[in-house]
Amino acid sequence: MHAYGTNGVINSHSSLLLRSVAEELKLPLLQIGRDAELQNLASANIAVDLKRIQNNADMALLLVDSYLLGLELNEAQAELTLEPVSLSGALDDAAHTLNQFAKQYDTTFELASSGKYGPVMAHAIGLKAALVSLGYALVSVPQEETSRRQVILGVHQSSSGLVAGVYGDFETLAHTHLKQARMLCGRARQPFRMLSSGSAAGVFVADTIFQAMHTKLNVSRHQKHTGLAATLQPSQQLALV
Amino acid sequence: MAQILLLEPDIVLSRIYAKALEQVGHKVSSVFDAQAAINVIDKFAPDLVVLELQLPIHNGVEFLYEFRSYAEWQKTPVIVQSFVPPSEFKLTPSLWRGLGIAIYLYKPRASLQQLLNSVQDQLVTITA
Amino acid sequence: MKQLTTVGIVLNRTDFGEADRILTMLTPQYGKLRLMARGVRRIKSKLAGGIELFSVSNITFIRGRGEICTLISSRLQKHYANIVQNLDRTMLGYDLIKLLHRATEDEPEPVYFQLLQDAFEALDNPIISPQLIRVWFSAQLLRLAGHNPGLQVDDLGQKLELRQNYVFNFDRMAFKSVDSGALTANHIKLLRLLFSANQPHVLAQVQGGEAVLSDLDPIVQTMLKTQIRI
Repeated sequence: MHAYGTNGVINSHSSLLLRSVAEELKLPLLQIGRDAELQNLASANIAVDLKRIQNNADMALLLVDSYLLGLELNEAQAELTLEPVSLSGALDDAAHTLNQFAKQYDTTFELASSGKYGPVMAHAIGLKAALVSLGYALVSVPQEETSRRQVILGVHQSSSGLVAGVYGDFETLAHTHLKQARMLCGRARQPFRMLSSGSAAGVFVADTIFQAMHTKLNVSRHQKHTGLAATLQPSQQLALV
Repeated sequence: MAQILLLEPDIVLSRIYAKALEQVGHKVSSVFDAQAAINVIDKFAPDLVVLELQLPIHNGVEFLYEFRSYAEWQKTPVIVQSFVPPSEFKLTPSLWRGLGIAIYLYKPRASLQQLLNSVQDQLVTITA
Repeated sequence: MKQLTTVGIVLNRTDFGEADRILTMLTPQYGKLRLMARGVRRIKSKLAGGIELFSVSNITFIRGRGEICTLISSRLQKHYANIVQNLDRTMLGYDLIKLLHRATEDEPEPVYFQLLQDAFEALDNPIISPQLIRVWFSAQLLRLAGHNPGLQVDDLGQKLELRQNYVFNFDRMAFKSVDSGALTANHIKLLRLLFSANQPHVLAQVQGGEAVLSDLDPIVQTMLKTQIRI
């Protein structure tokens, strides 16, 4: 991928995001194709994991859907109505979806909440899509194969609201990396090299969805882990009850 | 049959490539980033390296720069198998020579069979 | 023996024996230095290529009897970390280092150090396109070697005209007036900027430069191959 031209033409955010998603989709499609080819190789005595092929296809489709949802929500941003959404429900759903896929990366998604929290003002489908996209981006961060890895879907209280996101052993992750990654999305082959050897499209799709909900991703710490999270506003409705 | 160092950051692809290479009799050491590859090369002594350029933290060019700085690894064949499209290599014509890239395979279009054939061709070249 | 200090950029490094390395560094005061870095224990080394590549270091060394000096100490002054964030910039950066190494003798003038440092600065800036940096760098190598193309008059000595079309005559290193020629005043203007002392970040602000640059790219590369033979 090439950066800006000398005439300073700037591609729109959505076309840069599309480039990022298109690059990202090469990976699951390649995994599916080569998995299928492996079984066909002469003298192969290898059992191909059809469940894995299915999971890779499903996650790729989810990423495409989340990307399209992000576009749609941003176009409708002015009229977008946020509603009370159960945060723990959204995290639980996201973990369930991601865990089917994460097994092949020797990774499990765990829920970690530092308290009991009420609903937040969000777009219900968008929130789950954002968490799944984020988890998808972070699940394939390479680790030593011998260690089973845990990625946390966590929520904690902050002075600005409830912070919900995806965390792991990303200790060196800093805000400057995220800032630079945003600038390089769709322009560089590896805009978020601290986290991903690919285009990290899942991060940018999640960011797009969160921005439609008037928030955005930040580098965040949860217990002893570092990751990416967004701050959501608690719903005031139940407070009045 | 040879010792092959496979530098592939995606665990799923790594397992697929490793299985394909092993089922034709090669011994494969799989690593996921450039530092791990540098740590392993002394102990594993590869006959050939299969390398993705898009790696986390340090990319494949940085790995090759380090790898080729060691006298005993200057002639080890390297097959680049990467998501970087061939058109982007045109930008740097001397890169292949300078870093000793024997073959370049564009992952989305290179089958497992092509990889196996390329590895075999390089091993035959070494033996000759 | 007297210790000398300077700044340097690594052009090449090779392993030497079990624990040593030989670095070829480009410095502004001493040209290219070949330095023995003793006792660098390879097995424990972190991927030093990630630091040495695209860095300027303060070095202290002593001259030996032969052509290889001994490196006493090296301290990183600036590492252009953004270059290695992008594979295409890493590849180009590597290529520019090799190009300069091949294009220069052992005692290159201080301007070559500055040229390479300016190239790193440009590569480190994600706004400046790799293609622009490459074409600019090639033009600068030609300029510093005294191989400037004719940018004021054509191959017959006639002043270059605003409304005239041209082709480029590589033998004469000048424009040739041809009605069906693809090169226009815009190409000439950008070429003048590329061969001037301006840095890439200035050239990056030129409106409409991208399309013209793509036409000039192969022309400048051919000039480089024919004039400096690299």
